[in-house]
Amino acid sequence: MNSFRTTTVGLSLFLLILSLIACSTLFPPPKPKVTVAVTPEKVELKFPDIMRVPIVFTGTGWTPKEMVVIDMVLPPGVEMKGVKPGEDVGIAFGQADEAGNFKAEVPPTAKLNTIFRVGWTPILAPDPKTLNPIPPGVYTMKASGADSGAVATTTLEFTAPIKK
Amino acid sequence: MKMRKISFGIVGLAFLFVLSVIPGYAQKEVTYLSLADYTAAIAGLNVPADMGCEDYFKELNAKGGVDGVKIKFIGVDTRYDVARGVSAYKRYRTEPKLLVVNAIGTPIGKAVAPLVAKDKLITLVPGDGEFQAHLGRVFIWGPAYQDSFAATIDWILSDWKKKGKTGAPKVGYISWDNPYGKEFLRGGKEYAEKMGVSLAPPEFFPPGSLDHSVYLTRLAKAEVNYIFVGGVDPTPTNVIRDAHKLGLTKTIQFFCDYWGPTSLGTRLHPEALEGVVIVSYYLRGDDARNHPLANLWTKYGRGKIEDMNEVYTIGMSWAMTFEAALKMALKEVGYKKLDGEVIYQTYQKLTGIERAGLQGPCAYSPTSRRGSLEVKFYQVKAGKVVSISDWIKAPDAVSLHKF
Repeated sequence: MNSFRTTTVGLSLFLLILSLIACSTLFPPPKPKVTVAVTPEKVELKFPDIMRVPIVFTGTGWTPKEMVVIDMVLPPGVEMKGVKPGEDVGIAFGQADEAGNFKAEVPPTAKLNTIFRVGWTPILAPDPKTLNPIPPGVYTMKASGADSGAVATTTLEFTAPIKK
Repeated sequence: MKMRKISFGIVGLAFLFVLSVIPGYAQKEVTYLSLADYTAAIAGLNVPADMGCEDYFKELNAKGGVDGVKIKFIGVDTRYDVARGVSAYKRYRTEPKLLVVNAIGTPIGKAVAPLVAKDKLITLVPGDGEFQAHLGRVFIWGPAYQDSFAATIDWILSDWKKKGKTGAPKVGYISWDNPYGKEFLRGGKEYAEKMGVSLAPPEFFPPGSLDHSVYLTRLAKAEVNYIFVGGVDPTPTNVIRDAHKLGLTKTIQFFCDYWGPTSLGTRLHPEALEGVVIVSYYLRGDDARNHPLANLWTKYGRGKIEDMNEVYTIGMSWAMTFEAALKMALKEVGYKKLDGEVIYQTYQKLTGIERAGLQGPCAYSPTSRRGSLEVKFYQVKAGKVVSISDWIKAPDAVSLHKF
């Protein structure tokens, strides 16, 4: 009886240790301390003016030469073509330099696709009739390093167009 | 007794857990990622092409996969947006046994290339010759764009001769003012010069242009005999529609590239497009619809065969290439050792494999990133896209350009 108990307990421990080894990726090394900021912090949802406003993300502390991807976190209820519910949407990306600093500007296609949720004609032109800006508000922007897996967040406020 | 039950329970649970984390006990599966455009400007081509790819994989999986390994197709709608493409790649790069990434647009392919290289995978992109000039992990679907332009120059010279004309023909070029639009001439221009063909100054117009008369009029004033029209349909159809309105189609022979009008597009403007010659690396018109594999279109509920967009066959060709590589890789290293690096090495060994004649034999090799070397010429006749040549090996125009 005792030997059976010892064997089963031993086997259990062995299998549990094996499971933990298999799950070693659940305990990755500590991530670097990273930052992200956006300029400007507020953007007016005015078309086509927004196309002339550079929206630039910068950050520090990233792994040298790694790609940093900026995703916009979609609040519940904000739908976006091509994005499944619960998914974030890519809005910019840049590469960190040797010192771990990066800069990423939101390209025109992302402004059109994501901020103005525009439809496209098949001749590669945005269809102005389909402009459907995201609701004004404060949106979380998540920067993540493709190599380090490090994540930093900031916010960008989209304001309603000022009526003149 | 109670202790024994608890012990059995722990052993059982731990055993099941271990089984679930050991890949050998899970279903054998590999992943193919498509960074696609399903709802924006290129959707008209990408949707049917990915349907072809996905349907072929479905068919293959239904038959047990490749030596028991199933293929998981993941299509992501990037809306032809580079930022979304990069974000999507980052999201899916950890999919189990992700081996190949197909990018519908070269800009997306270029943007993800550094990440793909780090992950030791490969990327497939449309047709930029620079990937042949600088060999790496990016493979193109068929002959390079500039090669197809060079093949067209050969066709023009032959046509010129057949018509009994003397001297050299003068050729015009018109396309989008973007890197794709200019790619054809990076080596294509040098090839035309080499063959003694005079090129008029090329005309580039912004994507989204509604009227192309100004550009066409300049080419007409340059007294060109032939005009090569770039752009993804319906843009080339619109350019030729404008040329038709100007009366230019009566005296100038027009050409389109791989992304020129499909037989669905020619139904809309049969009169304007009549006589247009299309250079293609894949089957078009009835050649595509009568192909035995086209039955997958109806089998998987895509609609009537007469409504099949020919680019459906491009997708099947991507899938067949992947199937061939997977088969070879599994034979060489087995499932356990299969990874992106193995697939990269294997794609370079696919030289000469056939894809049921959907395009020319595969030309991937250690020194080639071209998906095939051959093109076929088609012509619009009475609203239909009709074959007017066999497969012709396209000249190497890439090597003529300094990248």
